[in-house]
Amino acid sequence: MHETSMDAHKPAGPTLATNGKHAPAPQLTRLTDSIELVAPPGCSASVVLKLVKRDDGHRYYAFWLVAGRHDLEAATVAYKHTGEDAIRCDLPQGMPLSAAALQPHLATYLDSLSEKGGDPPVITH
Amino acid sequence: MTTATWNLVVYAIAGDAKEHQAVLQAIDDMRAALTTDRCHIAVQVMAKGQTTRYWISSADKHRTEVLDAVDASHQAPLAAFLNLASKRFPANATALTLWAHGSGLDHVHDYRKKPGGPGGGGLGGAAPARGLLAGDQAARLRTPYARALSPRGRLDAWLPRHPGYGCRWGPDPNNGRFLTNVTMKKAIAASLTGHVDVLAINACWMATLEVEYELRHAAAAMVASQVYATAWPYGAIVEALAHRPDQTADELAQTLVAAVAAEIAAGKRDDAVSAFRCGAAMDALAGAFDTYAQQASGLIDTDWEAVRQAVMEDVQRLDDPYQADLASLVALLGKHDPRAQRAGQAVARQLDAMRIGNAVHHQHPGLHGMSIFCPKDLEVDLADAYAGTEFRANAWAAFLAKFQPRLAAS
Repeated sequence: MHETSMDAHKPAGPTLATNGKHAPAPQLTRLTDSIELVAPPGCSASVVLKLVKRDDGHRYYAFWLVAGRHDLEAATVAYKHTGEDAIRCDLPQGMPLSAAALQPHLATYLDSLSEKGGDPPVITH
Repeated sequence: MTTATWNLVVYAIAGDAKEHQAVLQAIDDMRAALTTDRCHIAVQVMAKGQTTRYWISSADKHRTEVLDAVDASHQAPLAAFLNLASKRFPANATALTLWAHGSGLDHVHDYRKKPGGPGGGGLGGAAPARGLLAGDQAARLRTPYARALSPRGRLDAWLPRHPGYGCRWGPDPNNGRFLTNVTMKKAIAASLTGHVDVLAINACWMATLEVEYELRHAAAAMVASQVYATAWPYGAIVEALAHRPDQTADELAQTLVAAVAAEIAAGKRDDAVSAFRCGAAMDALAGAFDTYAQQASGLIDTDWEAVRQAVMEDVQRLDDPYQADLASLVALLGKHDPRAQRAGQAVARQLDAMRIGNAVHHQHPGLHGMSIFCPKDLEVDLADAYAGTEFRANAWAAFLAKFQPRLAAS
């Protein structure tokens, strides 16, 4: 796979899974502008999770957009930023697209932001 | 001790080691920046199993007191600390900073999740129970936060929440409960002075009309954030206060906003902060908005599509799913109706007149300093969200109650 200007979205290095093997880790970023969502090379999909609900103790994120990729063929989906909280997740090849797989990475990412409204996230599906 | 011009009273919750370290760093920064005897700093940090007070002045640089844990969700510890600070550090004016997690309105939840009560308490019926615990209580206990709680804290966490309403500030690190804005208001009112000069809430999503209206008589000026907030630069704030200790309440509120704005400009943070005058100015704002909301309610019957378009698509949203920017709302909802437009312009004028400062990172475009509860979600229990708050009498509550079923039917 050739390198492109999309290297900025290159997935983070592998993390150690509980079975001792390295598991691919997604790259998470908060969206702050409207974008054309395209999964970067090396990824199987880019997902946008949007904060849709919260209650006493949780923030609930929903799958809002998914743009798939296979080798050089990639879908492009327009995302209009409205000011609402939206998290982009670039899923490296080999990582399953599921709420269960993404949830710990989303929790770690949000925790790293040290925000003062930081209830644990739940990905609804 | 001579009477100082300002007491900066910081009331902070450290829910974990990382947050505790951030508060301790802020204390070091403030102590280093305090170069005048005309200002004093009192800090109370509520951490797991322990409360610590720090008394900082230029003459007596630093004294520390360690106490047993207090319940930060109750009004008494806050009122007591305010009283103690005013006795220990006599001052002409007090700025109270409440530093913890926040979420604007507290009891925002779905009808079906409303806890207990005959018939389930919500329009959607009873909360689903599974074994001894309701589903949401059991889920709450499975969170990393709950697992970190003491046995007593875990017990409290699954007990039904106390019937307080208002903003959610906290949680208390020992029992997981929150200080509501109604309790916050009562705590300040119960203090010896009965009010503070500047009330600054360093927490997420607290710059809402509902919260600031509830607290309008607690302070002359209020500072809060519309969005996800991070810790303020307390050292820079104290440095600016020490440099000019005879600031008015408005000026100190502006100092706070300026310190955050400087960090935004320097690329050190990406949130927002705003400051507004309270008291009569907030009453006037709520009154103007009440008139506007009455006009907007009529449009649900006469121009539903424009109302739906404005609320669901056009109004500037923020990173809380239940809030919208107030200035954007009054500019867009009813823009085709002359009476609603005039009423909206009156709200905007009042908002502009009472805004002391506003600093917003460019990733939050279109934010004017104050938000309003405006959910797009059909399941949100509107009555419970406003129950117990003074704002529940505002015509905006009636607008939302009329909008939601109309949206469901459309």
